[in-house]
Amino acid sequence: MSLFAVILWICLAVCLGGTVWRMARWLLPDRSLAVPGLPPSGALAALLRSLSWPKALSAAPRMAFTFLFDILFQGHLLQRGSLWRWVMHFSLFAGFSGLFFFHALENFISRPFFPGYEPTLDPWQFLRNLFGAMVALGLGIALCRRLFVRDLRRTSRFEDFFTLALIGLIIASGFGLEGAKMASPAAFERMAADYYPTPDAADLTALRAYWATEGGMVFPVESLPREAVTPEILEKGREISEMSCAPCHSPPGSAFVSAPLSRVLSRVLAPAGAGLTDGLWWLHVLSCLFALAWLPFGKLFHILSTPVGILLRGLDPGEAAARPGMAAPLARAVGLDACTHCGICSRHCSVLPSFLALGTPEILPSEKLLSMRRLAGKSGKLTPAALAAFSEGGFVCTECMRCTVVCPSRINLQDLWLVSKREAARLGHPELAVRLRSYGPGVWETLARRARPVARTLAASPSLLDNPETFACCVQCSVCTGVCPIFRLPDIPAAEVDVSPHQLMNLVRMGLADHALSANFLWNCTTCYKCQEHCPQGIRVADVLYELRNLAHSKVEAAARAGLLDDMAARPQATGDAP
Amino acid sequence: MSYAWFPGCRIPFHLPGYGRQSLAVLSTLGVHPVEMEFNCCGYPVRHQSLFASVLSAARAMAVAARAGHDILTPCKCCFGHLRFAQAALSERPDLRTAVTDALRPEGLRHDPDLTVTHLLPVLAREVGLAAVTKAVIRPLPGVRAAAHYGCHALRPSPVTRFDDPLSPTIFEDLLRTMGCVPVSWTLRLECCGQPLAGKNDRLAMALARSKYASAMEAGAQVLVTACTYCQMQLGAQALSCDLPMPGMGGAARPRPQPPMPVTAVSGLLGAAMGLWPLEDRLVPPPGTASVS
Repeated sequence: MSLFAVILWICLAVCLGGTVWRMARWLLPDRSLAVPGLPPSGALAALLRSLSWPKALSAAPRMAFTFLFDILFQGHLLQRGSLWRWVMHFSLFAGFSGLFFFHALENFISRPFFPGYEPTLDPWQFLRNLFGAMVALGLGIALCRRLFVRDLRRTSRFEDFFTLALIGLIIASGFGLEGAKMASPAAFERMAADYYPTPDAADLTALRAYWATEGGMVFPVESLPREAVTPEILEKGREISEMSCAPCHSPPGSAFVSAPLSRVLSRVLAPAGAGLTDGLWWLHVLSCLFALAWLPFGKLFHILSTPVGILLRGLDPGEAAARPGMAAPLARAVGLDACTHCGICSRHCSVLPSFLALGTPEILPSEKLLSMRRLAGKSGKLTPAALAAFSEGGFVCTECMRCTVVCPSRINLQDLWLVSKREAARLGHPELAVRLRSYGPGVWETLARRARPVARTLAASPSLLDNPETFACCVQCSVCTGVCPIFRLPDIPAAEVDVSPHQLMNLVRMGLADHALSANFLWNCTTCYKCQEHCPQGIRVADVLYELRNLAHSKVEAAARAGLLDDMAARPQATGDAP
Repeated sequence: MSYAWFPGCRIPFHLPGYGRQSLAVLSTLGVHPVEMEFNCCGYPVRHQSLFASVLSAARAMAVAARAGHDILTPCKCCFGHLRFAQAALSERPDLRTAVTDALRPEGLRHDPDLTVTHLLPVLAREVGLAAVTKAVIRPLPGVRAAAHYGCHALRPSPVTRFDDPLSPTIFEDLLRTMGCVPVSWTLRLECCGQPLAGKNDRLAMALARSKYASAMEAGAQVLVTACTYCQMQLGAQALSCDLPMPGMGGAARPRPQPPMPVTAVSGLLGAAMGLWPLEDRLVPPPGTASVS
């Protein structure tokens, strides 16, 4: 078995094994953040049970349309995206598919199905160049978008550029190989020996002269002396070529990328000769096989997962998110794998400015999904730190559904966010405000003692708390408490109203802001601003409460960054009434 | 004057009907706000970070200003927070500098002169009560309606400048044009409880229950809101937030149905204007005398 065959079979085995493993994970029972509830295998069974002939028949035209229009033609990129995006992805997809089926699989498709197929005959020679050029065009647009569109650059990671580079290497080495062959005298001599068996020196020289003039080959002077190229010799060479070469060789002009490339190569790299052709062949083959083996483990897996996700997705993602059906866990598991990390969702995200201000990566949908994918399959092994990071970003989401509408992979992101938020809350990581409410005075004291003082960045700078004028005129008349809607509620536990607004004002006035942070009431304020509106002294009571909450958030975020919260997060926490 | 339509984040998924109906009512009355893509107004992160919330608001307003529009929103929390951010930016130079710096890379600029307005003032003052009355072709026969004002539009009044914070009338005036009879009720200016929903559900529900009780005590047949959050909290739509979990025992936690119909103002006004039929729960039983 040749070395090539060994590598090919290894890569095929890795690709198949990886694909089976990846797809099996769609069906494994996995109660992680993304897919709580029924195990997806149960969901698949339920989905299959619910199928009936009339239903399947009525859904068939829609499925067929989805397959043709959305998956093959990628029409939703035109509807929901832009012309550039469609040109980019369709060139990549169509060009790569063409190369894959007619060039890589030529022994299985082109030869059996197209009689007279020869890779060096038109239209195949032309098509190969066309498909390669399409992929190159798509790659160019993709790279420019990732480099020069600010919103996309923000979310681009190493893997995104690595994938582009890998495909680029495949295409560049392919063009280089074809160009090098065209210019290679060694290839000529090999072909001549095989297909022109009566070696007549004069005829061979004539053929060389013809191919040097018409095909752009560069022969060493000893095999083709300069004075040999005369019109008569060329005419003779043309006749021999017509007879022996033309049945399998179209004129090189139709290889509109490789032919010009061969002229450049022959000038620049002529001395490398046959070694260059071999080197490029190995580079081309190895990069293709590496891509094949890596397919199930990287973002290239979307070639398989995204079409499945698109076919599984219902007509109305909002409805599917509001009332998830039996198949929802399966759709969620596939959806997690269908993300191509294109970054469109984050570009349109409603809370993008919050990310710019707070800097938590998990605020952006594309990063949140990666974080969820990392957590998937780790049920029982979810660390508090991983959950905390997810929860910190995830709860900033306002459920506006825009990411779901713009997602080119058509993942039901809305459903994923709703379910993961609830799951994070169930696992003890609800919204930060709910956790902060559960911190007693001890926690705030520890933080005050151990953490460095909160940096007076603008995001945290309390302008009202710092200014004694804010409370100077408070006469403790308790009007704020009198109008507070929480304090008029009957039948609520006394602990919910442990400190009243006017007492809070007094605490802060005495410089006991840390005490104020542990008051349940601070977190039970509805921010209705009645206190502030009614204060006879014009004190901005509600604004002060907002600032205290800001202060608590910034203290805890600073402590978390310094790693001070780990021991506290490990402790079981009362999460109040959180679901 | 041209408006950009600022629906707010909660409309598309949680309350799509309120958005659709508001636009239908507005366009029938000759106001055609432009639909654009906006980011969140910043209200939901205000308690976490003032800077994040003001930056969000400033970016949204700058996007509208760049397109040459003012902002019209059906949500009182969006309205209140955008006005709050305008005030914060004008009174705090440090905040203004930081926001300006953060907006510059996108070529956006804060425009202090941009107008932020809400559905109610546009209907009652800009279109005018007379024009609305004229458009009402099927007045609602003496429906006793409780106007739910919503906190963040009314207060803090120096910042929001919405209506008289202690005795507003704009909502009742509008209800009268539809033939409704506005009732005077104790808790009409109080909080719906939504800010605590999901954070402290017991208090949130207690606040909502007290509002229903007060409105019903005053004889109201319907509670009318003009805010996405209030409607989510008090209306039946709130149910859509509680998802059933497939395979985990089915139904969501039971959530009390509102004891009285709760409707957003555009749904009621559209019915009075003949755009769609009145909600079933509001149609008076046959034989009752019309009060209007």
